[in-house]
Amino acid sequence: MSMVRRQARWLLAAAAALLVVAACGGASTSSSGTTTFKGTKKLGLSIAITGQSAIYGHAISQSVKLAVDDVNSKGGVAGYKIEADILDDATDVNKAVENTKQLILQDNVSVLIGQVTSAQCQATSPIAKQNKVILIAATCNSYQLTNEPDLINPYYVSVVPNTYMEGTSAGSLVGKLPNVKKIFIVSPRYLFGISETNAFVASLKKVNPSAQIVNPESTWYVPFPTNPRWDSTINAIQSYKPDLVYSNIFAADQQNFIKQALQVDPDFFKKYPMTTLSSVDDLNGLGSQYPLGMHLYMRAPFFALGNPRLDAFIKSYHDRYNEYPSDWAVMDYDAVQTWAKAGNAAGSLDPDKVLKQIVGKSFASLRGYNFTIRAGDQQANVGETVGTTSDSAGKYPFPILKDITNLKGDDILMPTTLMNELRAGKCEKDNNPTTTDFALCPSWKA
Amino acid sequence: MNPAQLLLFAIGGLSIAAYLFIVAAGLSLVFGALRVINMAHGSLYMIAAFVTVVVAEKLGAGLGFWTGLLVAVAVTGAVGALIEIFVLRRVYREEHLVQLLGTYALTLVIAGGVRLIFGSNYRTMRPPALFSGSLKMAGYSYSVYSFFMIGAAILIAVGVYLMLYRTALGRNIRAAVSDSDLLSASGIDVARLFTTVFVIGAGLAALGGVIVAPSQAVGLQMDTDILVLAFAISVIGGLGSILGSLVGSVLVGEVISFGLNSQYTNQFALAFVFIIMVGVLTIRPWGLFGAAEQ
Amino acid sequence: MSARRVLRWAVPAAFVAIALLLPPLYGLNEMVNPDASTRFGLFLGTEALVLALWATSYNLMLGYAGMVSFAHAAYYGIGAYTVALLFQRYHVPALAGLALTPLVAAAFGLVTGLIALRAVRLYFSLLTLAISQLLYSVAFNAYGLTGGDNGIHGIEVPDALSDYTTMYYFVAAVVAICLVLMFLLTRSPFGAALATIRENRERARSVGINVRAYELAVYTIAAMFAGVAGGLYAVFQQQAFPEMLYWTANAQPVVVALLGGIGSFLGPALGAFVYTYLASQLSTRFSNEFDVLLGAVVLLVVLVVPGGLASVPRLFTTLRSRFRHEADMESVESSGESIERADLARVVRIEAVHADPTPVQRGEPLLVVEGLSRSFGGLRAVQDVNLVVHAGDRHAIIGPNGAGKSTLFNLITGRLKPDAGRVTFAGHDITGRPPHAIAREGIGRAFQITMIFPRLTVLQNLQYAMLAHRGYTRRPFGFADRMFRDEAMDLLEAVGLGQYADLPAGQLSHGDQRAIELAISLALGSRLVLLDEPTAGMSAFETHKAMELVRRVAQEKRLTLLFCEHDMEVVFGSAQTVTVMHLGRVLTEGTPQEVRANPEVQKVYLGELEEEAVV
Repeated sequence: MSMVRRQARWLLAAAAALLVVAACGGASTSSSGTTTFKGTKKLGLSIAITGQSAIYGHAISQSVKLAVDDVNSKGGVAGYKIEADILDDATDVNKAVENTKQLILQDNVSVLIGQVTSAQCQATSPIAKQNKVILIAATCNSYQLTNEPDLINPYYVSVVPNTYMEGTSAGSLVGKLPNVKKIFIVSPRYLFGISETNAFVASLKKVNPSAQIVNPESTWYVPFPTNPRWDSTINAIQSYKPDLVYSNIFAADQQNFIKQALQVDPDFFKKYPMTTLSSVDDLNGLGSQYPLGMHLYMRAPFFALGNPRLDAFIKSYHDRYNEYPSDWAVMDYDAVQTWAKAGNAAGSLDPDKVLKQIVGKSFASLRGYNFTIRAGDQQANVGETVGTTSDSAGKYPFPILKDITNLKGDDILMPTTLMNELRAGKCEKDNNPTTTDFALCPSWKA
Repeated sequence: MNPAQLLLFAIGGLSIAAYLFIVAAGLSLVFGALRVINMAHGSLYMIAAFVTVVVAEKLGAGLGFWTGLLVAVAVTGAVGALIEIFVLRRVYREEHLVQLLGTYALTLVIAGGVRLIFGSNYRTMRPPALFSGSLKMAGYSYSVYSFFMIGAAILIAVGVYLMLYRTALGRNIRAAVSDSDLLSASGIDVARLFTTVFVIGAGLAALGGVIVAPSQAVGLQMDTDILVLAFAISVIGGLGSILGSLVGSVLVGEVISFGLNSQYTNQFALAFVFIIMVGVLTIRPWGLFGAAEQ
Repeated sequence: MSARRVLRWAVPAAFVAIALLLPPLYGLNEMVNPDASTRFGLFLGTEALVLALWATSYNLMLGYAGMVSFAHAAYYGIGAYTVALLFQRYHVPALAGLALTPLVAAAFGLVTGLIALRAVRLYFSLLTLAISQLLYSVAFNAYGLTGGDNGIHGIEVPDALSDYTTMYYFVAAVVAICLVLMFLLTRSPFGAALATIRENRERARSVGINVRAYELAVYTIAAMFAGVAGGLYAVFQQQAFPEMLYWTANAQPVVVALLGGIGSFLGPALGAFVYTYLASQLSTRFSNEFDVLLGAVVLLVVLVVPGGLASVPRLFTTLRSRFRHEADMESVESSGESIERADLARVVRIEAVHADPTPVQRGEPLLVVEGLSRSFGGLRAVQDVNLVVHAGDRHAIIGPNGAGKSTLFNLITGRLKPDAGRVTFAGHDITGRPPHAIAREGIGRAFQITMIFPRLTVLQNLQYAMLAHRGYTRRPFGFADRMFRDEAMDLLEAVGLGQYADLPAGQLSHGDQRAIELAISLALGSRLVLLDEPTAGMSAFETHKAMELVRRVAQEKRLTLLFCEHDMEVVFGSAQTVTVMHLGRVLTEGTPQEVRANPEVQKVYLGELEEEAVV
């Protein structure tokens, strides 16, 4: 057969295939609600179902689906049935932006739940602001997202303890530990890592001015999100021999780092104890391999926060998914419920009206208390849990914490004077244009 | 830096160089003999790593690693043969662009396929018990596995050398590298030779993937991450030269290991590799050990 | 107008019309289909426009100059970062930043192009890869400068542009201006020079084109337009991030250009629109399998339809004529007898064939070679050769294989640099100068293997050669295909190639290609023409005719010929002076009769004849 004929055949086949593909996807997917609903509105979620933070995204999407079903079973929001519109962004910033535009422009969502990484939220917040869509963050938590003058977004609400709250509490806890003079820092190099590490260091220095960070600042940070090999960090820690390692690496990074360190030396974390951000997903990911005796700070570990609402949630989550709900599942559930309650109070899904029912109001959290969304940075006064890993004695497939302290939100919340200074741009800037450091603010320095 | 620290980072660099060399050698060999730049080389490496991890998950660390080795090399070799027969043969005579695009399209297909089959989360496996554990030297701990990696790379280097210089196949390959036009005149079945060389190259990529799998997290970025470094090493060492790949890998591995640790070069360790690449390409494009071509 | 020509204009016209009318079309769609989202459709349309500009700028290098660069995405990213950084640090309005992007991107393109173009072909591509990764690592690591891997977000645009329709038209206007500029460039003599470089670099050099300078120019220009595309991206997406510079990001414009067709100007733009809409549809329905599908499509195109979508119309007309059993336009072969039809008298009269005035009298030394030597490793190809070619002479160089004839030619024309010795032409020292400069001095060359521009038409082969030789190719304006048309046609008719004027030169038979080769050499009007085995591959009759032609032209136009030949008949029939070379040295020199009678020469050739007899 001649070249031309062959080419033509291939082209026709390809065209036909494409037509079939397009036709198959044809019908629109809107489902009609039951007669008790006025209609269906969408809740948008762009989340890391794949990629570096996939273990978090997995829990989050499950929890959001459960939350939406619960909301609908109680009559929906402002008379509408809510549908969860979930897209995968592979922990990638650019994909999150594309997804967000699609969710807002094409799918006309009424509310957005925040993404996993602060880099993603940093990119999607302006889009939400421009299109006036409420964005409730339950995972990404850099305080700059709500206080940096260029990033301030009136439609952005946070129900997760932010990096100021986490970092300063970690810093003061470590500062109070006896015999800890030399500290090694490892942190992911992006907004979240830098923000939380700065908070840690500022607070540490206040509590214990003689504490010393042994590795130079430019080596604190590792590439994010892809960093499959940790040899150089492991070797550097061995080289500096610190008393303690502070880290806020998470998800796959945390797992890989711990596994590889244990290969080099099974007693690695006995020699170099680690204080790190963690979550039930991280504990579950490593299971019995997770080292015992590590100081963790966690945002919402279910086993430390026992209360009737949470117990009921654990049961229904476990029944449905055969897994334990992680911190993210808990907080994202709270996020959906917050919006639903506000929407019902406003009797409408109009973002400005709903916002009025969020700011300054209180909401019940699965974490066992009520939190208030304060005016200004619209941050909830939610708490943080700290403790030391220990064996769960067979109760769970992962270790739990002992010597638990549930820090109260009001104790760790950023003081309003500091918040106002940041938002008004009254703090000195270092040469970094994207992350104002609160440690340079007048009221912190005082 | 005291001698013990120096040793720590030097050996770290060698273990990185180990798997880089195995992969780069495959890329370099294929280019030298076939004059084709195979963008899908990193994808083959990735396939092997995933296969190894999955087999190890099913069969446990010890048996799983060795079985995984066999299965991964076989699977990757087969994929390589398919690529050579159905894609490369049609583009040998075409311009470089067509080759690049054709093999680039393959990376997309393979990456998508890997994602569909294996999922997109990171996977890890433990090294086999034989090479597990840690070793203390001069006050620092080393994983036994990193020494295995270095040893395996040396073995493979010797193996490739023997193959090239002591077998008939090797002689034909070297002839192809130095003058492919003459080759067809000498009565050798060139088509089969090319397929064989490509499969060997794929096999080397596979070995690299198998060996690296227990030492790091296996994820979907592996193909592009390694490809850039393999290119850099092949260029620095010389396309078509195995010795060049060896020297280049050690250079790059040490630059990465020491570079990432120093406060002055931490952020630019990888950039150094590319600066060296630019330097070599402008001053001596055929690399440190390559053969100048017109 | 033939059906083919109608189709050729119909597709671009339809495309432009749709692009202009996209917003109203979407508006109409929304009236009919209330669920549809105009905003999103326009958003996609704007994306497609930016991609069209980026891909077309890439194609300037790829389709027109034949260069494969991995750094193009870097300039795209730099354009975006220019707008973003100026806005974030210095609060420069986004549109002002956009106006600066061509300058910034061109500056980067020029500097990195100077480095990248020190290598050729594959090594050039690898060098661009390394440069791109360097630039990427700066964008990625310099957290303080560029925001690191977060990128820069939240760029503000003037309120007028916050409406999707207005933004679409604004971007469309900028893209349209850029596309028109690039189009004019490709049709200009500068574009003609690019085409010759793409088709045959060596030949381009020998007609006087400084290949590296043109490559640098097109590299910088392409980078400039890529920067504008990046700036547009930053304005409409209001962000910039490091992945824009990663080397694999180049895949997007390349795939798009390939899909649309790199052989046509609007191909990449067409591909951009098709790709954007198709990708959007496919990635929502098949988000898991999208990569595989895309890869499969690219593979299909690369292996089966390299001409892309733009070649589809041509494909259909070809199919149609096939079915009607018409002669397939694609594979006409010429009869190869053009030389036989050559009208010698006419050739001689043609204005195009005139020698450049050179202040050297007939009989005076025109080309002087002194002590020229060149070795390759241990092999001494040319050793201490002395040669004088007198103006108006027909001088032949003969010698057995390996005597060093071709090497000598290469040394004279600048393809090789000598190890020692001097070459003087018309009093100027041309030793070691680059080929294009020597061509400009007035030395022309016809090659041993046919060196034409295969995908250009026969007419274009001649026209572009003339443009290059006379220095017109520096002009980025004007229409190359209209210049020297009559002169070139005249010459073509005279050498008997007139009927093939519009055919791609590569489709002609070997003999006719040799005729084109000769015609180019004559058209250049060089004072000294080097003919490297000019009659190789010709039949006896053709040879006779060709040499007659050459001799007559040389005589009438006072050209000087230096040719090397194997065929003794040719030599003794045409040459006035003969130099014999053996093993890199000059053996002897004299008239054909003297040389023929020389016993040493006979020994050298007899030895060869004996060998031939045995075999």
